[in-house]
Amino acid sequence: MAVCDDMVPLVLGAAEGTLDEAARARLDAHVARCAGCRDALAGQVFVRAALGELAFAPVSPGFAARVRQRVEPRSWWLTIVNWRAWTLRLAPVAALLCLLAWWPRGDETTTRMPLTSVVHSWAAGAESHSTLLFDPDADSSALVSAALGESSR
Amino acid sequence: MPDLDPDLDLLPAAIDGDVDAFEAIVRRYQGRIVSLARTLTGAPDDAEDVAQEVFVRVYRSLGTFRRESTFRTWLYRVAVNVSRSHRARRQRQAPVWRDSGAGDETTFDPPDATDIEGGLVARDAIERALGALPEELRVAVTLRDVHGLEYRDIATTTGVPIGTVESRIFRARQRLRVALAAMNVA
Repeated sequence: MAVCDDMVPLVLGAAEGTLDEAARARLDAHVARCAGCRDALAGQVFVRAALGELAFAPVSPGFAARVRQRVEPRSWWLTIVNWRAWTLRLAPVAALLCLLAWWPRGDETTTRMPLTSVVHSWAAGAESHSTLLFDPDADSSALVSAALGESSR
Repeated sequence: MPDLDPDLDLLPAAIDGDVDAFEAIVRRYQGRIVSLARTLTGAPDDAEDVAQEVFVRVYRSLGTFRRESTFRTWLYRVAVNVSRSHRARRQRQAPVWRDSGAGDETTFDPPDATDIEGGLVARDAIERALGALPEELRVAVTLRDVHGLEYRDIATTTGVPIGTVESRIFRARQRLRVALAAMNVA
């Protein structure tokens, strides 16, 4: 059944309970002789009441805490525990300390070996050790010495 | 600016970064926002995740809250937008839910007579009927009849004139009545 267009605001207002007395009287007089508007009014009132009775869905107990966890700034000690963050930041400091350890100081009497010589010497030693490790005829004590990096010279 | 915002007891502290105050706001609205997400997304299993996203976005945007509406209206606007986006994303991924257009026929399986005595069935039927409405009708009637928002707040939340809100609510109720009658609920 169709509702009369000019009655729609009144039907809606009646369902909301916002009509003044004059408007309500006008609607009542109309619905007494119009089945379409009477039916529409009953439908509006019924659906409004049915939806109004819907309770809000239950929320799981930890919901608010989970939201809090997502918005709360991380505490300072959690930042410290995160070693990846601070070890990376300390890398330049570590490099600087290595450089200082190697750099010759003015009061030193001994002559420091140049860095390139140190590297070459280590590489040569490593090569002889690794050769021994793959030698099928090497005895066990020689293998242990090679594995520990002891010089066979 | 609204003269009486019922959340003024907590809002200033929350805006200043007080997480305790914000958590109290979450507790105040969690039931409403989870329910709204459940209705608007049509995905009960996702409702809490969507609601959580709503609150996180609100918290991050608290500094931009202009107080041109109440906090509740602003919260609902965010909730409607997030729920719409979620529903659209779900429809793209798996088109299970489908809005019925103006001329669409929607069919329902009536529940067993013995089940109708249970309120859960009525709730399920109402949610199914709501889910079958076109989105703009579903949003308007849900905000009005389930959540009790005023017409002007629904207009602010959805960004349409009050006259459009009234028209949508009227049409939504008419269609819901037909749908609920088909499910033996009306």
